[in-house]
Amino acid sequence: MVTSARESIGKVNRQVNKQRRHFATGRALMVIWGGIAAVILCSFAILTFSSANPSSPAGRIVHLEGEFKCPSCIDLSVAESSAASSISIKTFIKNEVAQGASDAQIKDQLVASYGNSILFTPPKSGAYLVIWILPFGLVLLLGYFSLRPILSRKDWAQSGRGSPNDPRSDDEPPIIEGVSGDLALSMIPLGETINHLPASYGAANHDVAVDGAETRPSQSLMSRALLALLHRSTSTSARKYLAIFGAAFCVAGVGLGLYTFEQGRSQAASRALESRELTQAIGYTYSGQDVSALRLLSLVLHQDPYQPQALAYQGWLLFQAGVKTKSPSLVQKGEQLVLDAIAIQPRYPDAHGFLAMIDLYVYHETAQAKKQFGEFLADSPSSTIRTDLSAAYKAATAAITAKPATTP
Amino acid sequence: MSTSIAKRRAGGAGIKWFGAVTAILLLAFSVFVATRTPASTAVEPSPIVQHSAPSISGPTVTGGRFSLSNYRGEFVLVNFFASWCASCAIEEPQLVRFSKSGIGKVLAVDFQDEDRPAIAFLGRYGANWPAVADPNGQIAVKWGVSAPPESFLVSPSGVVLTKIVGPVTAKELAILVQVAKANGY
Repeated sequence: MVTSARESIGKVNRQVNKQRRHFATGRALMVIWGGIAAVILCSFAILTFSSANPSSPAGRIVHLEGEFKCPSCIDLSVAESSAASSISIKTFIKNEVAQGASDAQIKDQLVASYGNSILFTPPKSGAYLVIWILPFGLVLLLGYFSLRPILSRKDWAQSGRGSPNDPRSDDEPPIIEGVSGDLALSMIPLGETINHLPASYGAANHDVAVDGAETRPSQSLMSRALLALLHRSTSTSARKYLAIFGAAFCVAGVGLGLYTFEQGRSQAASRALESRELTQAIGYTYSGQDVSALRLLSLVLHQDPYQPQALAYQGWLLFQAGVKTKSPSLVQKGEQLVLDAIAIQPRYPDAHGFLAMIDLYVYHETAQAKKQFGEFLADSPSSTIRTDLSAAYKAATAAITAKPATTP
Repeated sequence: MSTSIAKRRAGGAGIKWFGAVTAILLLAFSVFVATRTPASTAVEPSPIVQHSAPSISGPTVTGGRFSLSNYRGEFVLVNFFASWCASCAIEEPQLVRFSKSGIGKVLAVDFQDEDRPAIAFLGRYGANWPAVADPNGQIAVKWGVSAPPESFLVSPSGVVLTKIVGPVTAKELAILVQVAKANGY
């Protein structure tokens, strides 16, 4: 029995040493993570605060050249690019600095010519602030959660109460020197006796065996099964396999993601560009900027000659221009484009709305106009066009209602 | 004992929460970025459209002087070109056709070029409109030009109606002018 107990204690000591090494490794890892977080934080801080403008004219020129994007390049600053447009902007900056313009004035002038897209870094205001704050917040949170266990351990050590992982209450003495809490309990074989436990160890929480020896508290079958499962799942080899599997999973995921992204990138870019130009063109149409709208619609139709929205809106704009300038050819061309749009996408409400207007005001076909309005409304048109055409719809309805009375 | 266990569990839960929040933020950010128009293909409307045209005044490639204000009262196509620009060569015959139609005037700006090649370039296509020299590209910066050919249609009252990136056709210009007229410009 004595031999068995000694073997148990030896086993416990080996486990304790192993756990100590693990603990030391864990602490070292946390220190490394903390260090990395600190380096990232410092880098962000240096990058952000180093943007303070240099005072010398040459320094200002160099700094400003790095602030603007080359208009004809992809992801290059004016400073990094030797494109013709970048050379022009470099000359502009140099001239303006020589004439005494401030950095803000130079920036405003370039934004007035090229728009916000000329800025290499997003503005540090409005919604753009999120882009600046988010990384700081994440790094701070990461640092806090990484360092918290170390800091709390330090507090515990200073207060002389041992490890914070020790689940025992403050007045509980350690079971075995260097072993604490659940760790010690889980390592002691169930039901085995330990002969040389400290005398101060109270009997209140644990069973006391005969001859002053103490045993672990008895555990239920389920608890033992759970402990065994936990022990098995956290064994070194299992962790190793889990780590390899996790890494492989991550690599495969990233690879698959990149492959899919590359496959869809050119198509998505083309579609996004077309969609953006179309939205802009429709916006221009409703804000009265017909020339800009027409130009953008031409671009969309250049990419896709059968784009129904672009056809309908281009037709509508040409039709209106034809009516205003009394040009039958433009009116006819406009109508044909609207009809083409309906032929390609029969349930496109805006095209039906435009056709209704053409029927009503050019051909005075009130019944036909009402039919088109009916289709227009049935296809859930957008609120913008609904508002725009509502007056015409009312006129058409009024005309149809009035027609029987005027018909002989 | 229960207090310590609770503290430890709270710590674990904190890390889990941090992980979950970070993962959600990363996912949201990825979705946001993936659904944006790529910056390289984004078309931002020119800020000078619907505003008064920036001034163009200076020596021409042939030695005289010219100002955009000389054309006040007429539709003007301000065309940024260069003799070294291949697309400009494709566009030039269309500009000649537009100029001959009498619908509007053409004012060329010779972007980062030398006078002699520019004169030869214009002469090759029979372009007889004034071409203001812009050897340092400073007029181009005021108009927000990225690379030639880029053109701007200016109304008779001096308002920039639209910016045209790339080669333009005479037919398209005629329609644009007609639509502009219909809109009261």
